[in-house]
Amino acid sequence: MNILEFANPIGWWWAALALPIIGFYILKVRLRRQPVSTMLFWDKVFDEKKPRAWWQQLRHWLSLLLQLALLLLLVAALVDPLWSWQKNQRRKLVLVVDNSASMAAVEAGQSRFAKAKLTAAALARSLRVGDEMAILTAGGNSTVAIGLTGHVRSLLEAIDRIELTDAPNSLVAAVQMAKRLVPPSKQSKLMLLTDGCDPAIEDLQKDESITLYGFGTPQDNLAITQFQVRRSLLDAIGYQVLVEVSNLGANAQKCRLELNLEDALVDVVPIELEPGASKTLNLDHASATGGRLVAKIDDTDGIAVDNVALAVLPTRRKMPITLATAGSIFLKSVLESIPLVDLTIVEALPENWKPGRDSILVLHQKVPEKLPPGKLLVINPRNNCDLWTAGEPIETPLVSTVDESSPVTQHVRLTNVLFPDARILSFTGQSKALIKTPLDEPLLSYIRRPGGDVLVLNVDLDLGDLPLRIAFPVLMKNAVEWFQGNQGELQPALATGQAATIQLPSVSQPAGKRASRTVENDALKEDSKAEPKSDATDSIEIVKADKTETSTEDFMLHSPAGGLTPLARDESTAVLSMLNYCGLWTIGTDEALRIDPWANEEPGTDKSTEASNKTLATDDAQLVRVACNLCNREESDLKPRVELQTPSDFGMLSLGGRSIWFYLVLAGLVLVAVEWWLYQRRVVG
Amino acid sequence: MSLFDSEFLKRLEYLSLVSKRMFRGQLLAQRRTKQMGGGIEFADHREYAHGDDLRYLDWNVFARYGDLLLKRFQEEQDLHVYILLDASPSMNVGTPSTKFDYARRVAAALAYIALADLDRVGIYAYSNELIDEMPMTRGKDRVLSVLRFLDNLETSGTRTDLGRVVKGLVNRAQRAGVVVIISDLFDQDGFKQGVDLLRHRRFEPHVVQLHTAEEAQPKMLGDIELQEVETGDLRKLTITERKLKQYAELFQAFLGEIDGYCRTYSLSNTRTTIDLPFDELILRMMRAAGGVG
Repeated sequence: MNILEFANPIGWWWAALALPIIGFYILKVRLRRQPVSTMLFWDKVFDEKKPRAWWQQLRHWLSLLLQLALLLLLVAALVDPLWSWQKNQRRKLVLVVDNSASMAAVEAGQSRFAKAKLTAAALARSLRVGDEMAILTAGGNSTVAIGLTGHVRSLLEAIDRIELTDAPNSLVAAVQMAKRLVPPSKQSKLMLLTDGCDPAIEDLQKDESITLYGFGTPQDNLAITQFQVRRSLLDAIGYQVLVEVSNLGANAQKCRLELNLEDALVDVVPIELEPGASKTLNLDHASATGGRLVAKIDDTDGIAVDNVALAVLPTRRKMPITLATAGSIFLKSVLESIPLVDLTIVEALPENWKPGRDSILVLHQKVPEKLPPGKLLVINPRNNCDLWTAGEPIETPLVSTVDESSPVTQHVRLTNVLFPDARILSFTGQSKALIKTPLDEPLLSYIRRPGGDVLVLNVDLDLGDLPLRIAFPVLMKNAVEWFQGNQGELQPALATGQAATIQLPSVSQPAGKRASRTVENDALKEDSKAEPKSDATDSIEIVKADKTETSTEDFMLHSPAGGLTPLARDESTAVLSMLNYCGLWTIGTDEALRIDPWANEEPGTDKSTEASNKTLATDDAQLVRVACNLCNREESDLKPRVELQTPSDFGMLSLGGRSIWFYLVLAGLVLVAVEWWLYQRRVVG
Repeated sequence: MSLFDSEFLKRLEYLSLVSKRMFRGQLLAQRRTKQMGGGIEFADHREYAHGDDLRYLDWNVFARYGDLLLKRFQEEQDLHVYILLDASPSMNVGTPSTKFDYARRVAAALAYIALADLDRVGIYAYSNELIDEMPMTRGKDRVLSVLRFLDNLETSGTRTDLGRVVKGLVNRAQRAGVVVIISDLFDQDGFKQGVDLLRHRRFEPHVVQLHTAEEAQPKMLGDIELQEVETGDLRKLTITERKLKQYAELFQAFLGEIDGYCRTYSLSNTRTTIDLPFDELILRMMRAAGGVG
């Protein structure tokens, strides 16, 4: 039962003001006497009024009573009466407001987050003199919205500034932070405003030092709980999409999953899910241009943020290949048929030829004495060079062994195929035969060298039927792709609230090399096709394959909402720990961000080749793009794990969230207005 | 005599001169009694009858028109000026000087002008009855007596009743004349009775109404106990702006009724608040009389 107590009982002494009020009233009753020359006119003025009713004759008594009542209300406000539950409130309050993604769920026309903020504001207003309150948030990274203060207005402003995030909750971390801020004691209290959708809520409920208030009721929700995209391991322009859709409600759901690449529809998949079930899809598609791949569920459910997921598909660029040949139709045709190849044919290699960025040089028959640097594919070498010595033709140049583990010879069936006019090549350095004769004479060799790897195909294409076989274009394509280093690049999309370490863009960053998760571009590694490992921890490392010299400029983090934040960096890396919102985050220099075409145009804008190249050039050179999604099964599950008390169970909101003194003063003001209306208004007309 | 100091007397003399020179004594002159007699001032013609004195024949008319007409001459007589001064307690209101003080100054000024013009003046102080009177007197040497009489006057009585006072006056007066009533006229019914009686008895009433600015526009507000100075009656009132407005309207209506009454009977009516210098009031009265005359 609520019992009234008084926080400031000494305020009752103010009731003594009743004595002068009564005294002034008595003096007022004795009216001042004013002599007049005649009552002729005054009689007419006042005798026109009707005779007063009996209660009107008592009007002066009523005025006295009203003034005494006003005094009583003001004195009662001064003594600061409290209900027993108010007195039991701790004097140092720490309020943890859950602003995670699940709080966006709407209940009875109002979101859980809005209700929590209203409750927080009511708690702030109910502070008494001497009380202090601190407010923390528990969505994504736990932060202190405002430190311990008794200034109600500042508290209300801090509450107003708290925004909903797209991140999972961090109740445990927030509670720990709160306890460090205000250690539990008799004078302190920790209150948690949440919807209870955290598995850890059961443990928190057992903690007696924490008071939990709930704002959620169970709701159905469909969510995209996983979404990643990577380039195909086999196809230069292909890519693979991994998407998982989960039904976290109590009813079976149907929906359609749409995939859009830069607003162009890629795929639509109908999905039916039983309660609690998930469906994982691996979809293959092809696209030379990269961009923003968006997965969307057409469903209006609990929260909308998990109905959309974003990933960045790396862009594939054309690889410049220089073919130095006197004239080989087969080579020309097969190289032209490979996607993303920009072929240049020269009769002879210029003396001052230098390898371009990501370029491949194909030498047919004629090789210089000193091979140029860069990636080389040598076909039917006729002369010696610094890497080998060409000997006599191989007697039986039949293919006996093909190294199936090499990516160059994948899907190449050449057993017992004749390689006419193959020469015995004596390599000066280390080499590896990928295709051999029965006598282990190399027909296709791989040479690793610091200046660039070399593949040597020891066959005269003009003789034999090798160029006519399917294996030949496959072999050429494998070789080109192997040189490109395409191993199914994965630019992982992050989950909100997740920390990540990124490699900052470098000044001399070669084009086409995008991030891959610690996978080196090495064809000799047996596990080169291995899937990127997922870390057990929340930290993910995004590195560049080529670690060149990094810029010394300051880098900024551009949020999906358009905000810019300076990024703390450690030489060539930086840690992202503020990704609380879904969307595309971009890291780059100030100048690069300013001219970022993705930031300045709508997705799906039809880009010309020139513009696309410019986009690609800008993108690759100075920007790192990171997609961020909720993709959190626990956060998308909108069913509270435990039953929590709602604020309406508490008596405070029945008072409108304010202490009693406020309403006493309000009543006093009403009395003042009534007294003025009855008495003072006459005087002033 | 603090009421009539040397400054006051100087102004009286000035007023007298102005009255004679600028207005040719017209303040009261137009109301001179006209009686045919052996005066030297030509008044009228009449036809010659057998036996009339031929010395009064108008020979110019006979020469011009051939008509025999006799001149008639006006016989001048003294003007009787009766000053009725309201000495009821209601006149004892006003600061720094009261209406009664002001009324006495006005009465003194009028009496001085009349005496200087060789008219006869009588002063009658009244309230509900005649309080005191100064009998008809004549000559400028009587000015001091008049001033002394006025200075010694005090207000008294419980109410104002002009009608009763006038009844007594007209019965005792030897001759009709000019009657100047100096009052606040808060006795409305008695005022009309008195003035009517004066008109009927062929007196010529002049009304000089005095009031204070406070009486026209009271400034009181709030809970007040009003006390009438004449009767001593008390009344507790709560005065608001609205009530003040109503009061002002009633007061103006009262003044309008006085004006209407005077217009109806072509009576001279002068009204002022007591903050107007008394000599300025007299000059205004002279101008008004000169405009009419």
